Amino acid sequence: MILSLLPEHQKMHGYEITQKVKGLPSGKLITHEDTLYPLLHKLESVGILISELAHIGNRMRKYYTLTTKSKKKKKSLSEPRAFIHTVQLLVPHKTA
Amino acid sequence: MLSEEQIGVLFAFCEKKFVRWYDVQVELVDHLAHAIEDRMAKDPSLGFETALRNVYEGFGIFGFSRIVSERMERVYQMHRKTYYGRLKSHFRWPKIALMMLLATILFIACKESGALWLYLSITLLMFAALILSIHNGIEMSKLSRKKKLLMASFTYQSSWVYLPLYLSGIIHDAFFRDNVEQALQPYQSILASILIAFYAVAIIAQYQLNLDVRKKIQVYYPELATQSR
Repeated sequence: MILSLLPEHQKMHGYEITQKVKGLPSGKLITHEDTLYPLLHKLESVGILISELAHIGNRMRKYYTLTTKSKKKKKSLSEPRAFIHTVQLLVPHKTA
Repeated sequence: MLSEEQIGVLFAFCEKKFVRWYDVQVELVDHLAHAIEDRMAKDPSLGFETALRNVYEGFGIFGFSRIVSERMERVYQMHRKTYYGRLKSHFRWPKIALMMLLATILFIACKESGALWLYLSITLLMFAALILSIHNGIEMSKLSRKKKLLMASFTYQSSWVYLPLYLSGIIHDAFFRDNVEQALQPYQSILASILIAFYAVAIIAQYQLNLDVRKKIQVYYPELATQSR
């Protein structure tokens, strides 16, 4: 879901992403911000997103952008597969 | 847009909810501020405190705690990834030539002068690792003087750098052996010189990671870098 939003918007900040994700049909699974922010941080730690800070008036804002590697990966993921991929990132799965 | 005072209230709110790290607070404060502004724009009669309460409810029953614990884990992973990236770069040309040169010098020294050079070089590298660690601690504490930073507190410390400490008993005994200057066998010299060269590279990679993290903090939070002087 996030991979589908970012190329269109180039860079987005956390609140913007959370609002847009909630508006997507598959975004109904993620209803709380405490789920979305860990996902953003995980995507950043694996190199799919990079972040930058910018001064906006009297506060700082963190923007997220897709890396080149992730732009290529995005092309290979359809919406249903992207949804499954997102769930897998959110829910740690244990092997038997 | 919210006032400076209201932004200050949001930072204090984060502290109250056990988000003690400034770099985590910054993102949450922006989210809270933006959400509050949106709600107050839709309903001008809505007060700041009420809007804040409503927005915070959107974080669920765990509030900020899950975000903080996940963030700690991710920062640690990112630093570890950076460390091993730096370490691997020393095994590619041309950096590997330096490592091979160091190993060759150590091999010749050990072959000619026995185990003394071996233990001397390990001890020198241990001191170098200790000094670098202390120096990094001092620099990080300067950057974190006004604001605690999660990036500064959770820097990855490679266990390779502290490996000789675990062998310190053996090293101590070796210096007080009568035959410490006894020449090593060629295979012993080769193995020892390669291990010591690797140890030196592990220390350099740790130093590079520490420098990368400090530079990142200075880029992201230049106001903290200014305050540290």
